[in-house]
Amino acid sequence: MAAATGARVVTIDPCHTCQPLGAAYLLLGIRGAVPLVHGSQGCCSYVRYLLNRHFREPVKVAATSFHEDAAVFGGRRNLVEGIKNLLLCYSPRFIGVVSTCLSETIGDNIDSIIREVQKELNGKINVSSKQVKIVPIHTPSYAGSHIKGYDNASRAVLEYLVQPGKDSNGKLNVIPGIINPGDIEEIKHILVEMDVPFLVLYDISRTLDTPLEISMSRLPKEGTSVKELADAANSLGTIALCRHAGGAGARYLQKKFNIPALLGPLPVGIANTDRFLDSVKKLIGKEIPSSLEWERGILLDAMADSCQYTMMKRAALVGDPDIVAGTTRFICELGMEPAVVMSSTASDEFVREVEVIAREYDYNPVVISGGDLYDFESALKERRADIILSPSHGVEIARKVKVPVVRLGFPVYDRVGYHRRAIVGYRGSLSLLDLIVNSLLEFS
Amino acid sequence: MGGPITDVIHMVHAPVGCAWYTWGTRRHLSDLYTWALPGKLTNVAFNRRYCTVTDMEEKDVVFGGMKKLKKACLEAFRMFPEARGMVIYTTCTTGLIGDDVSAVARQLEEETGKFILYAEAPGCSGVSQSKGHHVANHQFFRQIRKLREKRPDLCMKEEEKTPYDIALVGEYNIDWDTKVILPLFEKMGVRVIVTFTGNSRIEDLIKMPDAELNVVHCQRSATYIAELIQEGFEVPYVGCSLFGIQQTSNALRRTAKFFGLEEQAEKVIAEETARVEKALSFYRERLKGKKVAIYVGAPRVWHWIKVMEELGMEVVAGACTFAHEDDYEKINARAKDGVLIIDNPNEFEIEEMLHEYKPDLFLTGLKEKFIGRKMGIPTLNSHSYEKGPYAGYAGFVNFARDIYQAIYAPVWKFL
Amino acid sequence: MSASLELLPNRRGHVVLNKKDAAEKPECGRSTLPGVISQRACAFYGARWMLAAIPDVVHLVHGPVGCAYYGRTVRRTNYRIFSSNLAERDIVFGAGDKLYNSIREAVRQFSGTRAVIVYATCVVGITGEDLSAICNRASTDLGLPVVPVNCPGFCGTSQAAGHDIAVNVLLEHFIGKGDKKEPPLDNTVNILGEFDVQGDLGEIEALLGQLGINIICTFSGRASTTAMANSHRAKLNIVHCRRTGQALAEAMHDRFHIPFLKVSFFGLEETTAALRAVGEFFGSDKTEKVIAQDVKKARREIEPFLPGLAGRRVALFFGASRMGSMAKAFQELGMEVIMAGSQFGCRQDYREAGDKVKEGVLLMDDAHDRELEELLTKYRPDLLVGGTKEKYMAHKLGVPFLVFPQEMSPFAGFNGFVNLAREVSGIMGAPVWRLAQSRREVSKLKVAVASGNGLTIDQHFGRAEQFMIFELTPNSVSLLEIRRPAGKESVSYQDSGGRDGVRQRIDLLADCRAVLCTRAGECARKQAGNTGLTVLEKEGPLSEALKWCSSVL
Repeated sequence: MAAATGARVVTIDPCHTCQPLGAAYLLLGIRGAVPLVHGSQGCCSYVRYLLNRHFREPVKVAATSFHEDAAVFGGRRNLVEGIKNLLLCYSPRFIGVVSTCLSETIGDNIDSIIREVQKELNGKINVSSKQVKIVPIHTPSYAGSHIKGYDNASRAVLEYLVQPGKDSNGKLNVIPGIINPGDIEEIKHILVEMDVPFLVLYDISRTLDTPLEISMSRLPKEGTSVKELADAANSLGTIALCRHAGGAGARYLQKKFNIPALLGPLPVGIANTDRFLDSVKKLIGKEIPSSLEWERGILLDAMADSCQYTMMKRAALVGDPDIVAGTTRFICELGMEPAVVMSSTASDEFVREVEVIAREYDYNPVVISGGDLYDFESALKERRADIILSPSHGVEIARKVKVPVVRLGFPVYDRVGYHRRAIVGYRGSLSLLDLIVNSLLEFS
Repeated sequence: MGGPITDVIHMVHAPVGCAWYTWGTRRHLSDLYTWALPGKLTNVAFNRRYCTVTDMEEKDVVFGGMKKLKKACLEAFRMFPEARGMVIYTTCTTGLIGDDVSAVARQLEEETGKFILYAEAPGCSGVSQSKGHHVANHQFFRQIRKLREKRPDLCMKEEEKTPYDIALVGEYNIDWDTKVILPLFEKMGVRVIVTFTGNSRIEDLIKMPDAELNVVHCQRSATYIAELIQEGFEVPYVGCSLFGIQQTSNALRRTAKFFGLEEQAEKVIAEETARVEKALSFYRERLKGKKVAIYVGAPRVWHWIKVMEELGMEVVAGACTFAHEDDYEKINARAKDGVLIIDNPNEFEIEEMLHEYKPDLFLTGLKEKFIGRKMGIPTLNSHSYEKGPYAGYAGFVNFARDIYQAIYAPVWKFL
Repeated sequence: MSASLELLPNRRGHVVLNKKDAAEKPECGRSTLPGVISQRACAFYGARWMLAAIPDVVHLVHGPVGCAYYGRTVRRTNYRIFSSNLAERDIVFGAGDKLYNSIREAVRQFSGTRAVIVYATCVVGITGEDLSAICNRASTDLGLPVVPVNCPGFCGTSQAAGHDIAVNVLLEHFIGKGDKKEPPLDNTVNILGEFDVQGDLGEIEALLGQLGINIICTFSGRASTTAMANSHRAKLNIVHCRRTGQALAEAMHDRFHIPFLKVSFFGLEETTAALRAVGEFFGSDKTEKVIAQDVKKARREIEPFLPGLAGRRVALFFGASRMGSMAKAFQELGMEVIMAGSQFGCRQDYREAGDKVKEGVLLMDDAHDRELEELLTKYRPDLLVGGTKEKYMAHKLGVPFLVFPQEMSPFAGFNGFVNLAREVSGIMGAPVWRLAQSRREVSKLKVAVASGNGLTIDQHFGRAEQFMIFELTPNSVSLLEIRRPAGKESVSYQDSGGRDGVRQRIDLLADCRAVLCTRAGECARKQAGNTGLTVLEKEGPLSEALKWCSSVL
C-alpha cells in the first residue's frame, strides 16, 4: 500500500489551510463570541470570505489589523485597542484572540496583553455587568493546518473556562470538529432518541445556520454558552467526533478531571455509527432505542437496494482526515473499492486507520497523508476512479478526469445547502448514499 | 410480443391505464432513433420513447371507439411520418364493446399505405400473459400471411435469399441480448434475416417465412408462430437455449447441423469459450456451492438450471407464473430430484419457499425482489436484467458478475 | 448636517455627508481601526488581485500554506498556485533553500512557464528573507525571469498597497520587455484596471472593435507575458479603474510616452462618453453611429425594468474607484444613490463620487460591519451593493444585495447595462423580501377600495382621492379607516426616499392584501405586483365586490 507524503518540496494547489480558520470555526460556536484575529487584515478577510461562501451566512470575525508599524514594533497597541473597539461595537460575551504566524513570529505575548487589558477594563468601558471572557488561543499558521487550529482552540478554551463543581451534571460532552450544522443536528437527534442529556461544545448548528428573521440582534443568540463550557468538567464523558479536530479538548478533560474521552471515528456508515451508539451507551448507560434500530434497518435496506449500482465501483476521496477516514469505511460497506484516499492534513493516525479498513475489506488503496491537489490528480491518473468524493476544490479535477463528483466536507461553495446536510448517523449516511448512487446513475 | 418492433407506432386502444402501465417498463431495447443521435439515450429509442393511446373515456365506451381510434391513428401517422407501420392493441374494454379493429386496420392501410398489425388480447382472456402470447402469435401470423399474399413485393426476392438464412424467434433483445447473440450465428456463416421481435423492423418481420430455419429461444411465447410457419410455409424450426456456455454451444451446434456448418460452429465455440474463461473462473470460484431459487415467467426457469450449475451453483426451488405442461416437463428433465416447483405462486407461498429453502440468491422480478431482500436474501432482476445483456458467452460473464455482486455486497453481513 | 449613524470616535471623519465643496470629503487612506470588522483585506490579497490572471507564469507564494490556499481563488476563479509551505522549522532556521528548490521544482513540472512570480507573505517580511537574492540566483540558473513581489500582508493599510506593489513589479519586469525599436501600432490601446469579470472585457473589446480599435494588453484581465512585453507599443492607455490603473498609466506615460484617458464603461452615459473620448483620440468617424445604434437598443431593452426600479434607493460599497463609475449607472436606471462608500478609496475617488451623487448623500470610508448594519437599519435602502462578506449580513436584515465583482453576466458596455438592469430587478423583485416581513394572517384580510361615495367602486387607482380600508373575516366586513394619498413629498434620503405618485399610493396601502378600483394603469399594476398588493379591477356595489373579494383571495 502506497503512503506517499509528497516527496516534492513545492506545494501545488494546497487543499488545507492554516490554523486560524479552525480556531475561528470553533469560536463561532460559542454564544455571544467574536473571534479576534491578531495579525494582518488578510488573515481575517480571507477566513470570513471562505466561511461566507460555505455557509452563506454572515460571519463576524474581527482583526487587529497589523500594519507596518505593528510588524516592526509589535502588535500590543493593536490588540489592546482592538479588544476595546470590539467590545464597544458588539458587546460580546466572549472574545477568542487567535494568533497568526505574524504575531507569533514577532513574539507578541497575547496572554499577558490580554491580562493587561482585562485589568484596565474593569469599570472603564461600558459593557454589561457580566464579565467578558477573553481567551488567548495560540494558532501559528506555519504549524499544522486548520484542523490543528480547531484542535488547539478546543483545548485552550476549556483550559480557560472550565470550572469543576461538586456534582456531576449527568451529561455527555460532544466536541463536533470541523463538520456541518446538519451533522451536529443529526448527532443531537440521535442523543435525544437515546434520552441522553448532552452538551455540544462549540455548537455551530445554530450560529452558522440562522433563519431570515428581520431582527436587529447583532450576534447569533444560540451556540454553547460560557456557563455551559464552564460546566464541561462535570460531565460523564466526552466524545470528540473528529479525533484530529477536537481530540485535544477531550484529552484535556480526561487528563485534568478524569472524564473518559473517546476520540472518533466520525460516525459515517453502519459500523462507525454502531460504534458511536455503543460508546454513548457505555459512557452514559442508556439503551439503544428501537427508533434508532429502525433507522439502521432503513439504511441497510437502502444499501441492499443499491448494491448493484455500487458494487465494485472505485472511489477516490480527499479532504479532512476524520471525514475521509469515516467515509472510507462507509464506501467499503457499500461494496465500493477505495482507490485513492487522501487527507489534507498529514497524520500517521489517519494512515493507520485507513490501513485497518483496507485490510478488513482486502483492498489496496493509494493512501496520501498531507498531500496537495496535484498529488491527488496524479494519483487519479494511476488509479482510475468511478467517483470522487471531495470538497469543491476537487471538482475541477473530477471534470478533468471525467468522473462524477459528490461534494463532501469543507468547503463546499459551488453548490447550495450542503452545510444543512448530514453525513453522520444512520440518516446522514443514508442521505450520502443517495447522493453517491444518484451521481453514479446520472453519469452512466 | 409487439413492443420490441422498433419502427412502428404502438397504439393502445384502451383507457389510459393500460398504456401508462406498460410504457417503458420492459427493457426491450432498440437502436432506432428518429429524433436523437444513436448512442445517446440508448434506453429510449423510438419504440419506448412514446406512448400512444386512444384514452377511451365513458362516452367512447358507450358510443363505440372506432371513430376515435381511426382519428388517433391518422393523427399519429401525421406526427410520426417516419413510422413504417402500426400495431394496434385492444384490451378488456375495447374487446368487450366489440370494436372491430380489423376493419379500422384495413381502412388505415388503404388510406396511408402503411403496415397495420393488430392484436386483440383483452386482459381478461385466458389465465395469464400466456394467452396474450398465443393470441398475438396467431393474429400476427394471419395478418402477415395475408399481407404477403396481397403484396408479394414485400416478400424476400429469390435472388436475395441465401441458403443460410434463419429467423431468431422468441428473442426480445432485453438489454441488448442480440448484440451478444447475433454475431455468434454470423461468425458461423449463418445469416439472421430477422429477429421476432427484438430490435426488429416491420418489413423484416413480413419476410420471416422466407428463412430456411426458425431458431426458437423463448419457447413459451413464440413456438406458436414457428409451428404456424412450419405448417403454412414448410419452414422447420428448432428450439434452443442461449444462456450459459454449454447451452449456447449446443444451440450453435444444432443450428450448424441443419446447414452443414459444424466445423465453423466448433471454431466459434472454442474461440468464445476461451475468451470468457478467465472472468468466469474468477466468479465460479466464489459462487461455488451457493443455492439459488428462481421465479420468473416460465422458460427461464428451465433455461437457467444448467446455467447455474455451470457456475457451481445449485437450483433448490423454482416457480413459474404462466408455464404450460411442456415447460414443467423441461424443468423436470433438467432439475435434480427434490427441487421444489411451484406453479403460479402467490406471495405467501414465495415467502414460505424462501423461508424453508434459504437460498443464497433469488432470481426473480421487480415485485418479488424486495420480499427477498427484506429476508436478507440477495436478488437479481431476472426479467430485464440488472446490467445485461445476459445471453450468449459475453452475456454470461455479465450474469455471473451481477450474481457475484448481489451475493457479496457487504450489506448482508450487517443483518 | 451630520450623519445619524453611531460611530466610534476615531471613525468620525470617515463618514460624512456629501457637499459639493471639495474640503468635506471623508478621511481616507488611513490605518484600519483594530478590533472592528473591516471589509479590507491585505497587501498580498491586492497583489494577487493584480497578478493572478497572468496565465503563463508560475505563481509561488513564499510563506505558510494558508496564504496560498486562500490566494488561489481570485474573483471566484481558482488558479493554479504554488507554495513553499513554510513550517516552523523553516521560519526558525531560514527558508532560502526551500524557496530556491520550490522554484526549480515548479518550473520543472510545468514546461512552457515563461516566468516565476514569488509573493512574500507576512512571515517572510518579518524574518527578513533576502527574496531578491534568491530570485536572482534562480533566474540565472533557470534562464527565465524570477520576479519577487514584496507584498507582506501588513504593508500599507489595505489591498491598495498590494496593487501598487504589483504595478511596480509589472513595470519593472514585464511591461515593454519586447523590442523597444518597434514602432507604436496604429489603432491600438491597452486597458488598465480591467479584470474581465464575467465577460466585461469582451463587451469593451467589441465596442472598441466597432471603432476599429484593437487591444494589445489588458491589465490584468488578459495579460500574458507576451502581451505585456508588447504593451509599450499601444497608442493610448485607457484607464478603467483608477485604483489599479492610474499609477500604471502615469508610469507608462513617463517611460514610453503613451498618453492615457480615464473613462468608465458602466452605464449608458459613461460608455457613450468613453467611446467619444477614445473615438476622438483616434479620429474615428464611426463613433456616433455606433453610439446611436447601441444606445437605442439598450434603452429599448431596459424599458420593462424601469418601472420596478423607479425611485428605489441603493447604497453602494465598493473597493475604491467604482463608487463614481457605478453611481451614474444606477442613477440612469432611475434609482437613487443614498450612500457611496469604499474599503480603501482615495481622495480622488471620493471627489469623483461626490460629483456624481446628490448633496447630502452619505460618503463612507472603510465602513465596517457594524456601521453597515446601522446604515441598513436606519436608512433601509432597497438594495445594497458590495462584496460577498457583506451579503449575508444584509440578507438577515431583509435587504436585497448585489455582489461585486458580479457573479453572472457582464455589466460593462451597453449590453452590460441591460444585464445590470435585469439582475438588479430580479434580485429586488424576489418575493422572499416581502414574505420575510410579518407573517400574513389568513383569516383576516385587509382590502382597500377606491370609492368616493362609500357605496360603489367608482375611482381609478391613480386618480382616487381616497381609499376606504376594510377588514374581511369569514363572517364579517368592517370599515377600519379612510386613507387619503398626499401630494408629492420632498426628496430626501433620510426617510423613505423620493417617490413618484404611484409608488406613494402603493406604499400607502402596503398592509393591504388587495385594492379594488375601476381601473389601474399597467405601471401601477406592475409595481403593486412587486410588493404583493393585488389590484382587482371591478365596478359596482361595494358589498358585493367585497364578498367576491374574500372568495378569490
